[in-house]
This record gives sequence, structure tokens and C-alpha cells, in this order.
Amino acid sequence: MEKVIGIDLGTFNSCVAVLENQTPVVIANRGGYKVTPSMVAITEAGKRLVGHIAKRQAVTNAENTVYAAKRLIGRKFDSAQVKNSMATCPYRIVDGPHDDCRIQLRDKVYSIPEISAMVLQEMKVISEDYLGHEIQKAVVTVPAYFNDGQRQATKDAGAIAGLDVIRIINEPTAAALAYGFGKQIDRTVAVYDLGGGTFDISILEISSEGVFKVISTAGDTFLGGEDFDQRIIDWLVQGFKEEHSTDLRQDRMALQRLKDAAEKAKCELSGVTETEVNLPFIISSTRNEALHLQRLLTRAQLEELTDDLVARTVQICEMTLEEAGLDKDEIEDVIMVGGMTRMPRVQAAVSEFFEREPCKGVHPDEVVGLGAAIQGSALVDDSIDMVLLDVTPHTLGIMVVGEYFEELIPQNSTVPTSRSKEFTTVKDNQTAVKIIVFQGESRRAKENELLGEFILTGLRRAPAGEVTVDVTFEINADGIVSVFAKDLDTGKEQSITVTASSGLTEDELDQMVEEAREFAVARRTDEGMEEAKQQAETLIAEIEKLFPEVEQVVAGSDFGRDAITKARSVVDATRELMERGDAAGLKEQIDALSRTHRMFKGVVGKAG
Amino acid sequence: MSHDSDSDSDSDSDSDSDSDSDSKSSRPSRRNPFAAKKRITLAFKGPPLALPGAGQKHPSEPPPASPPRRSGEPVDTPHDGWSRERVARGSGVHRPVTKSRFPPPPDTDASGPKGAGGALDLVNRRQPSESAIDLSSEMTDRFALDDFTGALLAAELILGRQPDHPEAARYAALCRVRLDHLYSARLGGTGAVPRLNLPASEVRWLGLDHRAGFLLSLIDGEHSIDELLDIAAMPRLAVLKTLIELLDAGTIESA
Repeated sequence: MEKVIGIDLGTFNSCVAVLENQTPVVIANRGGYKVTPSMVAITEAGKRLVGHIAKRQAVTNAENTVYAAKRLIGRKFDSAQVKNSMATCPYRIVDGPHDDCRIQLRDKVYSIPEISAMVLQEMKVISEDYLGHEIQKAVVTVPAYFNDGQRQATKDAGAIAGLDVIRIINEPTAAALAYGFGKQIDRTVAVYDLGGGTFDISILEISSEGVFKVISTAGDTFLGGEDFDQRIIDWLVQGFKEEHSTDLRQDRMALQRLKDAAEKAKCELSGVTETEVNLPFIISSTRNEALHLQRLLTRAQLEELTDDLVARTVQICEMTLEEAGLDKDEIEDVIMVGGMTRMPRVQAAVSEFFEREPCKGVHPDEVVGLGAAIQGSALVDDSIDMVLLDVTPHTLGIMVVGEYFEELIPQNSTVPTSRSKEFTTVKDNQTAVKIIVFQGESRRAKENELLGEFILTGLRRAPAGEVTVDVTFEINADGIVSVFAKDLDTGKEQSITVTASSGLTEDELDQMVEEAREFAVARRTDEGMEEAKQQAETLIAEIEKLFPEVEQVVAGSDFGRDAITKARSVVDATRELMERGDAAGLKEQIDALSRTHRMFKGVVGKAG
Repeated sequence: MSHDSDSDSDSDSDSDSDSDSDSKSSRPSRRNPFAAKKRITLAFKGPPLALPGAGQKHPSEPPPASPPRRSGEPVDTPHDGWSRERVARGSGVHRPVTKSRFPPPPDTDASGPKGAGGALDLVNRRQPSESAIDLSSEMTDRFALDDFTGALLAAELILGRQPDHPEAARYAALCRVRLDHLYSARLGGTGAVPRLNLPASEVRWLGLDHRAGFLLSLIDGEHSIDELLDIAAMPRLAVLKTLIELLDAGTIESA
């Protein structure tokens, strides 16, 4: 049976999982890490870096390193979220051709789905390396509050990465799936998700029939582990400034080291009560003296530095419970998601607020990816008896007189669903009505997101309010919205299918898919080249070391000089092949290089 | 201002030595720690500034014949390749090459009114004459002797004066390629993965600068040299050279 991978495409970190022998497992990347930073960078040489390696140079190459692209996906350039990102991100966000936003890295402009596709492609490669065969299908998770455009953009990112995204599911739903997998439970749970860059809290109902329903969700897209790291960095910078009168923020290399060290210290303080931040040679003074940073950070200090951040998450939890109309004691379990929930202070704040110990049975970094893998398998394997009912993330409705928003399908309605409402004309002899479809929570229609519009014509001429038009909204299991309007007198009908737009045209998407495919092929070729290059370089290094000795041994002999000339030409030819990037030629040349190496060793050995 | 690290350290060491010699008599205020903190070191590409009359040298007098040696640079001992070549060519004239002998000529027009006694006027008088060295031949000679570091330095100095100099550009590119090969071979190829060869707690006792410290912080036994080159935010040759220095010092090992 075809394998379906589950991908937790996070704002700061991503994770890929698969179901093996009915057990979901997270796949580690080449470095052995189960999570991969959702970071993409383009180096000065034009090389693309994804994951940990991109993170290691995120400060020193800040303008060309993208992180938190998820905050921008499917959003309009003039949206508040994009403006906020523009103010806080060092990379360049530019206006796209379809009111969307794009990112400029070096001399190329990338769409947001393209950037996300680079991360997804990395997850695809990780899973293919592990499974040993090509992967085509995936389930990808998104925050519960993502609208149709954002979901479609995520799907497009999958397509660009060469993945058929067979289902998009909500992150808290995926977490609850992993939590409830294989159990017969009826519970109302809270999913507290404090990740690298965002905080989400969701209340879900899990039924023993395998139904998972999101009752309420809220969060802060600019609150996460990064803010905790920043507090440590600020503390270190301030301390260093007091000691040495030198501002480490002025030096990018120093700042990169501080960022890495701050994150490390934060993680360590989840297990121990104090840790030393030791960064030798962090900067040179104006007198060219190397300065070292060495400070002890205690857990108590960290908690003091980040107290308000933890308090903010609790505040949002309180609001979400209120919105769901639930009391704390109605929450039967709390699932902790995201690396930041390992912090003891966070765990204490959550238990204090919900008045219960959070669930310890799930891995905070892996739970969402595991849930996505479970859902992926359930979609292709009939033997897995599981029903997943997703909900509409936002209210759907139409604009009525006075530019008000009339709700048809409320937020958090389980899909698939269908709702109808009757409307009347507002003018005498009105023969047409315009149905304008919106998505959002504002009473003012124009403050919500426009999904589409159509006109129903041929209405019976009659005084205002006498003609009745029935409007029906339908959402299928894939989340596709159809709107029908019917004149109940004449039976005339008109409809529209709302196709979410990611900000990319079909042509653009096709071109990006093709480019990504070419990149994937080139990458595989490069890997072969890299392997051959490494082998060749090792042999060249050995031969170069032996040259002086061999020259000494064969000095004066014509035969020896010939051998040395030939050896030189083999080494030079190999280098030329490496420069040309000729993988096939290089593989052949390695034989000649090996022979030369053996001969040299023989000559030196005999002489010795 | 763009300048390389060597010229930085040169100018700093010059100013430090000035400070030492002056401290006892002429400038007692330098003992004041607050005054020392306020001292500004000017990054300056060129010969050191001097007080009027200091050293009693004639401004046009050439620099000392034996400049301070730096590791890895040719020296005036008769057994090095450079001297052998000179002897073989019969010139017999040794022209030691140091960076301080290649300063770009300061803009004399910018030095203010003649006789004003400004700093740039002093620089002009200390400047070695143009005929002291022919950078083009220095570049080609050094390249012929496989001294690619020296040839690259000469080429870069020419390019500093004439950015479109085709010969210098060609030599600079060639030198970079050759040095790249040499450095890569020393490191066992750029696919090799360097590892720290001593406890992290001992790193601070090494004599490193902050760039080497930064590079060392990236070495985690996972990233290959190729990857370090991608993430180091330093020129490729500078990374390779620093890695060789760390390798030679036994700070890292490459596998």
C-alpha cells in the first residue's frame, strides 16, 4: 500500500512522520534530528540552504534567510500580518503581482508557497531517504485559524514540492488524533501549542467513534520560543555591555553565536537549574583584544526574564475557554505541543490555570506530525477505522443591505455541511440580486475576506420584500464551498463554487512545479557529485602529501620523472573535472587517482 | 572603510608601541585608565603616522631592509626560493616584500594647504617612492615561484588602484584557485568534517581572534568544510586558511 507521510509544517520547525506497522513514527533528518528548522537561505554563491544549516547562518546572512514564512502564506500584501512581518523580519517582503506578498532573496523574487515548498521538499527527501522509495502523497497540518486561501497556498506549496497533499488538517486536530490514537475515549481536551514562533490554544471534543471536533481556537502568531531566546540574548548583551562597554549587537558573528547559545541555554534549563553560557573570542575590542563571554544563567533568572510571555499564553487560554463557553473543570485533559512546553515554568502555569497536570503521554515536538501520519494512513487504508470531522475555521456568509455580513455557516461548524436561508428584495421591481460571499467574523462585510460573487437575474417584478431568494451554502469534505441562490417563485437558480486562491496563477504554479522538479533532480546529481568529490579530494590530499617523498626517491631517474608528470596530470585533470562538476567523469577519474595513490605508496614504502 | 585584518593589526601595533615609548616622559596622561579608554585607533591603510622629527629620518628614506617577519611569508635568508631566484637571475638585489610597501598613494590634493603641517602631509613625506617596487612584476614573479599568497596580495593591491586591470584580475583569480586547491588538500578535501580536538573549556586559552572564534563555534562535528564555507559569512580563502591554522595548532582535526 502506498505510504502517506504526515508533515507538521511549522512556523519555525517542521517534522515528518509515517505510519509503520500501525505505529506512527517520526523520521529523523540526516543530522539525526527529528525536527528540521523551517528556514530557507540563499548563500552568496547562490546555493540554497534548508533546515539546520540555514539556521546556523540566519544572523550572518539575515537578509537572505527566510523564517516564519508561514506567517505570510496566503496573505495579501496590505494585510496587517504582512505589515507586521515587514517591520520585524530582516528579509525583504515585496508586493506580488496578485495582491499577494513575495520574498526577495539575492536577485530573485520567490512566492511564499515556493519558500514553503523548499521546506516541504526537504521533508519529502528526509522521508524518501528513510523509506528508500519515492513519496508522493502527504497530509499537511495548518493552524486551525487558517482561511481557505492560506490552506490552498499550503496545498500549492505541496504541489511545488512534488507532493500530492491529499488532506490539510488542523494542527490541534492532528495533536488530538495522535493523543487519542488506539484509545476509545470521549473527552474534551485543550491543546496548548507553544512553538518556536506562534502560540495556539484549541479546545476539542474527542468522541469514542473517532470524531475530533474543534470547538474553539485562538492564539498569537508573534509569540513563541524565539521571544524567550530574545530575552536571554538581551540579558547577555546587557551584561556584556556593562562589563566591557561593547555592544555585541553591532557584530553579526557575535549575534549569531549569542542566538545559538541562548537557545541552547534555554533548552538546557528545562533539565537543569543552572547553565553556563560560554562564548570565547566573541568579539575583539577596539584595542584588538579578544573578549570572552561567560555567564551563569539560572532557571529562576530565565523564569523572571520571561514571566510576562508565559502570562500572555495563560491570558489567551482564559479568553478561549470563555469563547467556547466552557469552565476549566470541563477540560478533561491538556495536550502540550511545541518545544517550549518543556519549560517547567510553562508546565506549571498550564497546570495552575487548568487545575490539572498536563498530559505526559505525547511528545511535544512530534505529536502534530504523528497525527498527520495517522490521518494520512487512514485516508488510504480502509482497515484503519477512523472518522475525522474537520470544522470550518471561519464564519461563512453573504453581504446584505447596509453592507452588513449575514452569517450562514457559523465558525467551527463540522464539515461537510449545508445551510440555507431566505432573503428578500429591497427595492420595488428588482429583477436581479448580487450575492457577495465573505468569510470572517466581522459584522461589517467588507472587513471580512471576499471569497466570490455572482448575480442571480430574471427575478419576478414585484414590490420590495415580496420576492424570496433562497441562498444555500455547501461545504464538502475537502473544504470546497459552493453557494446556490434560487428564486423560489420562478425556480431560477444561479451558483458559484468558491475556489480558494493562493495568490498564484495556474501558469505560475506549473512553472514553479517544473523548477522545483529540476532542482530536485540537480540535487540528487549533486549528492552523487559530492560523494565522488569527497573521495577524490581525500586521494588528492594523500597524493599531494606523498609528492615530495616520491620526488626524492625517484630523483635522477627519467622513468620516475615521467611517473611524477603523469601523476601531476591525473591530479590536475581530477581538479578540472571537479570544477566542471562532471560527476560521471570524476567517478571514472577516481580509478586513475587510486592507481596513482597506490603507486606512490608503493614507491615510498619500498624506499622506506 | 574597507580594509583587511592585517593592516588593522599593523596599525594597532604601531600605535601601541608609540604609546609605550611615550608613556614615561611626554604623555603621562596615558596612564590614566579613563584616558586610555577614550583613545581612538584609526584604521589606516598606509605607513604609520609619525610626530614631526620623530626618528630623525628623511621622509624619502626607504623603509628598513628587514621588515618584521610574518609566518608563511618569504624571508631574506639565502635558502628560500625567492632569494635563490634572485641570485640565479643575478640581480643580487633583495627586495623584501611586506604589505606596508604597497600603500595606495594618498591623494596629495586632499592634504590641505601646502605647509599646513597636517597629518596627510606627513604621510606624503614618509611615503616610499613609486619606483621602489613594481607590483606587476612582483605579482608575476611570485606566481612563477608558486608564492600564490604573495602574488594574490600584489594582484589585489594593483586592483585596489586600478579595478579594471585585466592582468591583475586574471592573476588574482588564478591565485585564488591555486590557493583553494592547496588549502583544500591540506584539510583533506572540503567534504571532510572537522571536529574540535580539545575540550570546549580549553578553547578560551587559545590565541584566537573573534573570527577564528566564530568559525570554531560552527565546528560541531556535523558540518563539513563545504557547509562551513556556506555558513561562515567570511571569504572562502579566509575560512580555509583559518581552518588550516586551527588544524596546525591541533585545535581541530579533520576527518
